[in-house]
Amino acid sequence: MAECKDDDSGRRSPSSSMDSSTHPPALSTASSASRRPPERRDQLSPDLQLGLSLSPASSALLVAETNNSIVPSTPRNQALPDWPPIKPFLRSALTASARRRRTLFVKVYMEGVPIGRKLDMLLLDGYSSLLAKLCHMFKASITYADAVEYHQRVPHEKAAHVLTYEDHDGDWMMVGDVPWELFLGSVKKLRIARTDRC
Amino acid sequence: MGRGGARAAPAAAVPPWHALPDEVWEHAFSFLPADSDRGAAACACHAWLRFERRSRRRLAVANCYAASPRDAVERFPAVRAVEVKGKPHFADFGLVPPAWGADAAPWVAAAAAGWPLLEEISFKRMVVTDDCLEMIAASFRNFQVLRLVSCEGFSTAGLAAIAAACRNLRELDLQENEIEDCSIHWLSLFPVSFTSLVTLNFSCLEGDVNITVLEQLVTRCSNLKTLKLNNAIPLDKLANLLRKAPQIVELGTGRFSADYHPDLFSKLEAAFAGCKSLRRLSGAWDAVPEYLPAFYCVCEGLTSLNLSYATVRGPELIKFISRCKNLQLLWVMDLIEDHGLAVVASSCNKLQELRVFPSAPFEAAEQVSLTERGLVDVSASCPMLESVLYFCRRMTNEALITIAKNRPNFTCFRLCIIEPHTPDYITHQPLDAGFSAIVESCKGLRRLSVSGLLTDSVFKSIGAHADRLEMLSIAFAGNSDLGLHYILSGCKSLKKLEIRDCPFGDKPLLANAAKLETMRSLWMSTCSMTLGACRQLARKMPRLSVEVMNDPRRGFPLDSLTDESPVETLYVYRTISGPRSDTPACVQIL
Repeated sequence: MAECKDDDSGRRSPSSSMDSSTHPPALSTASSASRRPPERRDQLSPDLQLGLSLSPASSALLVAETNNSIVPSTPRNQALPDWPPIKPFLRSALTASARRRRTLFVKVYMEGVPIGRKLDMLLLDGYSSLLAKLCHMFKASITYADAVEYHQRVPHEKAAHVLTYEDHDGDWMMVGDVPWELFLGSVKKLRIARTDRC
Repeated sequence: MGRGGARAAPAAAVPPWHALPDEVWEHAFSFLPADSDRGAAACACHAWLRFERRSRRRLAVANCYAASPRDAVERFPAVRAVEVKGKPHFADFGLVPPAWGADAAPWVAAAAAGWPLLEEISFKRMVVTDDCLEMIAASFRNFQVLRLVSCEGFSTAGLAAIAAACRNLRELDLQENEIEDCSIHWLSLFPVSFTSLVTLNFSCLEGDVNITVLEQLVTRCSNLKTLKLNNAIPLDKLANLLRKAPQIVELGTGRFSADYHPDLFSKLEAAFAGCKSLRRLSGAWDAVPEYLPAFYCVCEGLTSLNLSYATVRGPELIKFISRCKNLQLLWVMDLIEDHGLAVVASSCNKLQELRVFPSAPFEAAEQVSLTERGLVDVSASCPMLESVLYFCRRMTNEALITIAKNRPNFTCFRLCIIEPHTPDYITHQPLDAGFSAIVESCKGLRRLSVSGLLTDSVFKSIGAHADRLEMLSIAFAGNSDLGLHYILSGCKSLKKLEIRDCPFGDKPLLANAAKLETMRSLWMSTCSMTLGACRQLARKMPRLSVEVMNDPRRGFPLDSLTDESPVETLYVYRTISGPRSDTPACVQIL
């Protein structure tokens, strides 16, 4: 898993900026803030510079550390340091706990959707919660390798998508082929494929 | 503070009860506990004004700049307990400049001079320095209660002064303050003979305390009912502390995480089993699921559970809460998710207050499944639910209408949809209909926070129906001046109005200037006011203090700015003591 995490974090910084573009409301909020006094926009710059200064040559350790603090933040957060309305103690407790928390972010792509999303696998407790999360995220019916069981549970619903993943060897596999813990150790990327293409 | 003023009584025949000695009257007034009743009684005649002011034991000042401390002490010479609040509420969320003001020192100095018998002090959102704490420690010979909420400016050295000098201290209640840790062993300054503590709350303190000293203190204060530890107290010390205070009613645990050891678990379980009176539980920092079952034996008795700092999730969390059948108050993170709230709905039928905080508020993407569903379920099954604070990312009008129908008994409804301008996620309509349903159905609503995509039409409803509303918070809403006009011309009972990032400007402010004098305060930031209108308001309403805050880099002093200049932040409050004299550079009073 360590190998996988390093690999993942090495690519995380560029992906976080890409991910932000998947949320047009966040951008529109930032633009609606154009009436704001200049200091709020000034606050943007250090963070942006921090992100930009992460050259690919940085050691993996440094990147991993910096990422831990970058991951929870988004452009919206930087544009509105005082929103949502959370008291400072909860705010700092959340920041501290996010920093302490181990994370395993993988990117999820769905066929036909140009932009991927990120998911923290360590917040899930098994295949069924992964599936529930993705169905919710992508508003689609998705199945995985344990299809017999799935169809017994939801007999009338025909899944149009099946979940696949790229393992550490770079091979694309059906999700569900190994126990969850092994899966966490090898998953690099998730892809929701259309069933008619599989 | 009561706003009593003497009205001249007609010079008719003096009624016989006027002959009663003052002491009798003052005793009679002691049966009037509510400030509003006392204020009304004081308006009756000169004599009642005198009795009331001489017999007033508790004084609450909701805005430290509404009256001068010396006037307060002069008018109410017999006060034993005083509560003073400082900065505007939005200071909690970082909208008020750090140097804005609200210094506690003038209040402490006036109290020290005029109220030597003072027993209780509460400060909220004020700057309390170590000098203030030392003065408190030195000035009141029977001082018993110090409650500081969201204050800043002091360190453990100030606490040490309190500990060393206040021999009769019952409560030291430190809630959400920023305390500098001078690594003084302040707890060890409580004298060995000191046993009077009933409440000890240092949950907001960062940094270690001496565990041995704390254990000794807890052991000898046999009346201790409330003990709230900070997250520097490790889990393996909790069992020992609890064994020494089995009479405890309210507990804030320290850090609730450790590697799992069966020994530690059984020690904790046994310690909790001994706490038969435990009713309120909080803390549980970084709680790990393995240790949650240690709480099981106290679940039945709990009426209040605050897990807003507990980043625990999953079936163990839900199982734990589902055992707390008698909960009246529940604060959790959204990690409980919709299905967890469904369990709360079916298990905790006595729930009165629910708060759900976001675990990842700064991430753009949804991390947990917490939607309108959870709140709908709780509102359907908990008939006594009357107060809600709910952070989520999705809401629908249909859900809000259902909630309003389910719970017309709401007195407090605060909904924060994390992304500003979010519409009903199914119909893509503004949430006007939903919030309108809330104010139309909940006749007793006193506090409301609105969010999501909202047009002026929701404010028309709020203005027309929210007759008892006292505090209203608005963010990223409305489309024109009309929105603010609806509120200020309606909302009969409004006391506090706070607005940010709304397109509200000069016209409704000036048209409803008289309304502002009936209110305690108005905060508007990043709206559309101009300096000219604020100047006009200040001229028109001399009893209002009109404060303008602009970024110092953007042209100060104000005298050099034209009437058309935009005003970044406006804070208006009524005052009987004139403009304050301690304004920092970023604040100007017009």
